[in-house]
Amino acid sequence: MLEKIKAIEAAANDEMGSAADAKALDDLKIKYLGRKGLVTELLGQISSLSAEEKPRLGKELNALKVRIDGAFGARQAELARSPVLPKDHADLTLPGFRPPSGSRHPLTKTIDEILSAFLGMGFKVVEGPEIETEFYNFEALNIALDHPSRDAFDTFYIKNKYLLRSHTSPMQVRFMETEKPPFKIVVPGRVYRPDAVDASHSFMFHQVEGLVVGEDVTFADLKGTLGMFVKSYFGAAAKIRFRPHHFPFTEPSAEVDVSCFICGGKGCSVCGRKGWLEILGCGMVHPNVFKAVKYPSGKYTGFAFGMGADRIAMLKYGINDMRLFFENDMRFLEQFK
Amino acid sequence: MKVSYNWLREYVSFSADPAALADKLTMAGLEVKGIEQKDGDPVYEIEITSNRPDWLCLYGIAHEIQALYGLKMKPIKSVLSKSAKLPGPSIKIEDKKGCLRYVGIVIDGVKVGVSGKDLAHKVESAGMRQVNNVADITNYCMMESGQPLHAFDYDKLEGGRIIVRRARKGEELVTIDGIKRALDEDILVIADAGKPVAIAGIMGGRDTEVSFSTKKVLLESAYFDPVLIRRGARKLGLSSEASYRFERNVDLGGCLNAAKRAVSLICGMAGAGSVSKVSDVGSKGPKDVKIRLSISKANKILGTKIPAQKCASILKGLGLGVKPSGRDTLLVSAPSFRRDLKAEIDLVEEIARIYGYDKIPGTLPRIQLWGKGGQKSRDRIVEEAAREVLVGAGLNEVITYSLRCKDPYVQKALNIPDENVLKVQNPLSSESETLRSVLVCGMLDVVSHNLNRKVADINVFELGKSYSCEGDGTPCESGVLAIALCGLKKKDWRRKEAVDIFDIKGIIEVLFDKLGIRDYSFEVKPLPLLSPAASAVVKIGTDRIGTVGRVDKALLDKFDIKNSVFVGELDLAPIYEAAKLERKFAEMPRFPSSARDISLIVEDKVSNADIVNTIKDTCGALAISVVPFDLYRGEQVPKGCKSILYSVEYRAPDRTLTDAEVNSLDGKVREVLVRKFEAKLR
Repeated sequence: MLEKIKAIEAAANDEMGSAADAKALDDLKIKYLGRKGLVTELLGQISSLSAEEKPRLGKELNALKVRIDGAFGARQAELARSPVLPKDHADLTLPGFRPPSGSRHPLTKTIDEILSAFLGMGFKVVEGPEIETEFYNFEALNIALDHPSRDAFDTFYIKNKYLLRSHTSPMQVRFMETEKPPFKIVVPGRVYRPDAVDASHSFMFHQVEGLVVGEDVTFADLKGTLGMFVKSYFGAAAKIRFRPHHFPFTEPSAEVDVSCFICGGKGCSVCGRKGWLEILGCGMVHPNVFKAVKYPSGKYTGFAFGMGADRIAMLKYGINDMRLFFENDMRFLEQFK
Repeated sequence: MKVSYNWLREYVSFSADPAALADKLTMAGLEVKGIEQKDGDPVYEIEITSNRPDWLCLYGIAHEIQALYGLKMKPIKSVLSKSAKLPGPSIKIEDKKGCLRYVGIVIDGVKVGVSGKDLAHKVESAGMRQVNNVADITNYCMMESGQPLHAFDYDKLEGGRIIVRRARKGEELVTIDGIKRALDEDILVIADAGKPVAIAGIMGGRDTEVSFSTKKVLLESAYFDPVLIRRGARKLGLSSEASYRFERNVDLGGCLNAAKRAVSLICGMAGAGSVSKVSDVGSKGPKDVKIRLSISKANKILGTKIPAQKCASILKGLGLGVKPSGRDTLLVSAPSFRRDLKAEIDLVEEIARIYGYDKIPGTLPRIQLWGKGGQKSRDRIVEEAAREVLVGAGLNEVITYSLRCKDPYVQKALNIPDENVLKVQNPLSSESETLRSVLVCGMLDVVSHNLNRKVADINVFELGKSYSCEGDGTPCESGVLAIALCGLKKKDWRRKEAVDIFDIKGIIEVLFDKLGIRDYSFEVKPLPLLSPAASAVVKIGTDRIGTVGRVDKALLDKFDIKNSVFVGELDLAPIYEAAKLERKFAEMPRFPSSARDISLIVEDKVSNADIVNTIKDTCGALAISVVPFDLYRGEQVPKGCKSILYSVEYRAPDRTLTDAEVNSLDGKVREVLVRKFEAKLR
């Protein structure tokens, strides 16, 4: 009996050692320890042994069972550590096959994000033509011909007194000509000015205009609305300040600065060591603009604002040259996936 | 404008340090862009908005400081100590609209020399060049009060006379910068008895300027029409500190005081002998403007509760006359140096500015929009959906310039008459002189830009506009989607696959599917700018809405592109109109379908559409899909023919089709194909 035990153990160890995979090992386990396995069979023979042999060999057999079981476990772990590669195995360190994925232009992305902030505050998005007339681009907006205030609005002219809008504000007039207050609108669009192209200038750029008119709209409302916008777009930590300024179509007028989000207001090269970034112009709609759209005198008040989407996108993405927006280098575009 | 901090203190004694004052001024609308040290004196660079000519001088800024800090200004001293014996100079204003007022004083026995240290520093702090003591004093006084002054060498004025008139065609003048200027009737000049001696309000003449040998000076302090000066300066391409101020309006009421101040300084510093009587021709200055201000209205506009008393003290601090009238009203009078104040709203701004924008609370508008807010237009919703589909299809969005160079080749190919192309009248360069009629050129620019940088796989789209001119001269603009593909569409370690015409077609099909447009088709047709081997018109219903194809070699050559480029250009208006973004659920089919494959050889000219339509017509609604799944041209197929395989799927909505039924339909289809197209079945 003892010889048998030794022979079984030797055979089991031998066979386990050459088992190639988990399946072969499982089969061996059944062969030795299964219900009809070799060890089980020996255990069945114990009843036929003598009374003095019974306890000794019983112990030996149980010990054998434990040893073989342990060896199985050890071999199993060993196999798991060094698996044999299946023939059709995939080397997943190779790059995956990527489905096509394109990218939004950083400018349209920026414009959409700005619009979303205002949509959330109940604004409506409207759009207007790029080819405009002097009336909408200037006169109705209280911008006098032959006045230095017009210098800021150098304009491309096309034939028959038509021009390329130099700002999105003409849409204020067009909208008010057909709609009655109250309303809150935002107007995104492409605008043009004869500025020679360099890192921070372009003859074509993008603005987002806003206009809110009602019977009781105040300068405080302007501050609150733009304050909400700045927090939702630039983050809760962003601070905002209003500086008096002059625009012919608003009064009182202001320029709005946000605390520099690069340096947190401490002063850096992006904000010119000032800690503030100028991002938009705004003010209360000038009574002459209401007059131009034939609103009853004194009935309505409102505020308007306008921001350069290109500048905001440059600040947001850290883009240092405006020309990159219009060169459309794939290596630039693919960064905005 | 450059403003010396120490000089400012001569007019109002404030205690704020340079940084604190800079901040205070910035937050009141005088934006301090920078501070530089000049001989220990901090000099501000201040941006002055075009509505505030009164800020173009130190006294005006001192007014602001007075209001901001509640201080009291010191008056400017101008005492003419010498009693005038000489008669005033002869002055005649011929153009009374061009010159509302002309003050002239002659000073005799002037010793022209170099300015003292203090005067020189002040003139230079303002960014001006030292000339001589007389010229420096005129510049000093302009910086002080905002009134530009000019000093003539009186002995050089022919006839000792001043005539303010328009120049005559053919007249010329060498200005003090040494440049000969051709003049005409649009230019206002100061002339003596014979000829122009200065371009009014813009620049003096070289021959009559004050020099070290000058003995007698005629000092000019005038008011010229802002529009005339602006047009003249633009026409001559010449601007100066003086024209900058005249364009923005100087104080008509301040001419005389400025002249007196300058004369008293010249007498003090340039040791003059005697001073003439004052010749003051034209208007003596306008009356103050009276404005009625309602305090409650001001607070209503601002959303504040600023008390009447505070409003009054702000306005007084700015140098305005203020008289209360009842509890809610102030009667305000604006003197001639504040011509920008015309109406109540102008006063509201002044109150808000000095009170401090930062003290005004932030609130939200209390207006009820009842469903009128928070929306996008339908066009914009469709546009955004289209953009999402195209990005999802792997394309990169681009933005190209709407302004381009002239493109005679493209214009001729597309048969666009010259008068339909919109041209910019004042272009920056020939590179941007027309508004694009089509987007394809911009797309090819993108392709060539990338190819030149060794980026060979390009897949882009733009949602932009094209521009044209209607027959009656009305310009119009319309939305266009442009797509361009070039290079490889798939590039990984197993496959490399170049893009082809069916990729761009597939993208357009996916776009239409996602936008809910079903009624579209592609009509094979030779088209300008596209290769005759691969071009089609895109239609929705029977309307042509765009084109798609491979760019013709001749056009690629213009852009120096050697690779194949596929482009599509579609009008957005009909796409927006046809789009249907709403979805409705439809019951899934209840009965199974059966498929039959047909393999046939037909002549090349027989199109897939011909075959599919024939099969559908033959079987009616029972053939639910006809899909080609293999196309072969080559050895086993006769020349000029192609072998093509179709899978036809049959289903009835109300029952399971029997094998016999399907076989009979299949048989009929085969028979028709053979008969109609002389197809050989395989």
